[in-house]
Amino acid sequence: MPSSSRLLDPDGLQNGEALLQIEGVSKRFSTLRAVSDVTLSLREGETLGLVGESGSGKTTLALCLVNIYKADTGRILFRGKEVQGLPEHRFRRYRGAIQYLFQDPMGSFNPFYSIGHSLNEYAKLNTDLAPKERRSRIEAELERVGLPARVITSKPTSLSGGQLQRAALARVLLTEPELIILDEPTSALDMSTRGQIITLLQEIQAERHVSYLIISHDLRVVRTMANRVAVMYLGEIVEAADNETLFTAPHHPYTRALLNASEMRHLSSRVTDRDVLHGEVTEMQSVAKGCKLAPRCPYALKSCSTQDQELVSVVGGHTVRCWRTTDISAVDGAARKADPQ
Amino acid sequence: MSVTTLDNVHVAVDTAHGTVAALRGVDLQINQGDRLGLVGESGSGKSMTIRSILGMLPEHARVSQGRLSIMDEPVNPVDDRQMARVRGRHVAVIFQHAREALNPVLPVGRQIADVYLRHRGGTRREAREAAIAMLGRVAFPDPPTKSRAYPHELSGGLCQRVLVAMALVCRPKLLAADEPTTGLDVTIQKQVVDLIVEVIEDLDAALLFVSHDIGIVSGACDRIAVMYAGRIVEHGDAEVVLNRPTHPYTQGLVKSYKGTTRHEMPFIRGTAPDALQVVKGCAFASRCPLVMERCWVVRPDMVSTEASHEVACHAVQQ
Repeated sequence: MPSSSRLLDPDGLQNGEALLQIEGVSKRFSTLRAVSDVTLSLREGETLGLVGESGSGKTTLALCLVNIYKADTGRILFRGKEVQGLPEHRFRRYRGAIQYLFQDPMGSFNPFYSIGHSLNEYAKLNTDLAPKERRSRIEAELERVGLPARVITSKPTSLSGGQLQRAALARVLLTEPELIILDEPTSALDMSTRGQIITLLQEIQAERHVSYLIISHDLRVVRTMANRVAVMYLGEIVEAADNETLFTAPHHPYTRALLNASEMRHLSSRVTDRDVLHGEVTEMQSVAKGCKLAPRCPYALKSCSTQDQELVSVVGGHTVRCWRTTDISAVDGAARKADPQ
Repeated sequence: MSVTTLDNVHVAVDTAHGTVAALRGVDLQINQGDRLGLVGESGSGKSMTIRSILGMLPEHARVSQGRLSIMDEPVNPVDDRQMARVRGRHVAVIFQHAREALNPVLPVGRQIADVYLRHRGGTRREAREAAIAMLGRVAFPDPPTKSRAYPHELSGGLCQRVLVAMALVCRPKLLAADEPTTGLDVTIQKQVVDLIVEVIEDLDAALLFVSHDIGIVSGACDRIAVMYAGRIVEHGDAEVVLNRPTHPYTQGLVKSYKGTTRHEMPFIRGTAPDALQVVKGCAFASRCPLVMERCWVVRPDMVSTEASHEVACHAVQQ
């Protein structure tokens, strides 16, 4: 890989240290650039948060990790081994280790099968357990996620959204995964019960040392779960940092606008009323020249729409794709000095 | 003048598994110019409340008790002919997933004009002009040309603007918005809410804003009513409900919304009661941190705790 890729990786990890390494991955669908040149890594037992709105490419990237999509370019290493582009029969050995928890629990269960039947089919396909062992494992995992044993005979329609998401988690745990991709794990749930699933996921991570890649547009979920956070916009990573830095000292105008529009705004004095985006994201912007946020950015200059932006390191482990970052910070600093509030 | 009044409305839905009590006695009054937010989670009855006002109850639903009036006239939500005269003219609605609420094979301008023709009559040219004027009011770019676009050619935010224009083209007295920002990106949500508030004020209509997101609602409304298991459990100034909630359920809801920290996301333990279950006493009792003996047997009534603030809770009323 070119050395620039190494620079882009905020952790600067060497091969073998990371559980998962994504290096320069891109994916196009005809003219749409869904994911462009994404480099990220994830350590064992850690949680990486991937934030962005619809069309940012976060789910496309995640589906590349589980071989549902094949990346056009770039490498994906799991425990140092290339897994990107493998034919299905060779990727299959990683399926148990890399699991995917889908957003819509109702859509991820066969409505005609009981929960027990669904889980048993899954265990048959993805584990070497004997029928009797399968049965006891299923019971154990259901109990661990807080479901009564009687749900084994229940159909998905008779469970609530929260219960179904628990059942989906139990299914994923059957294969003893090392990495679970959590794709919007709480967005189908009520506000007052989201914390129940988040707490459960945290407990399971502590017990089993599993790593998470959590995809969410809900910044509260990412704030609570992630060690590191990467923000995506139209297929590109625009900012990546450790949790504390990203929420308390965000640089990129898009990150700031996201924080401003959410309940996390109070965490950073850098986020102001000015951090509001105009208009909406369109697919056309993904292939436009220059910074992809420029048409919507409150800080954009004319040159922003002509010059491509590089992802550069601000301080150790904090990377930003905005060449105005230093200008904006200077403006902020001046404003704060003038107005001590 | 009261635009809509619900007086102890009960709605029951007959299903194969038994009768579901969707609304268990809802009292609500919306006056001209009011902006009321109705907050609740799935199954709380907030959508059913909107559907009763619009006469759009599901097939096997009936109003088993209570009275409903629109523009001070009593109405029967299951009387289709009567409600057809009310809908669109006095009361209009916008739904979530705007693109799905639009007809995919007709240009959006035409769809707005059809609503105008249906309720106001006149010529097609007048209807088209009204549609274009209303699109301009909701900040839809270049209405004369882009009103010929089909829903799939527009973004989610623009489709939501089309729905707002369609709802308001006949100048209703009440706009009911059912989760209008769900499914939109967070950076777009505020744009849509600000737009709705602006147009509502402009037309001097009342707003009933239904959402599970108490934060979004508080930005758009003067008052908030919180629903739980088919009843309103707290009702007051938006500011007070959001910052000093009194009902234990509202407190839990606000905390799960605002109280997230680096390592913890607060939640309310347990789950809401099954709608098939007959609730004796308070429906929140099994999840409530302040639960008392009485809560299991006696249903708490709404009682004023301070000026223009009501709450249905035995523990708070003590």
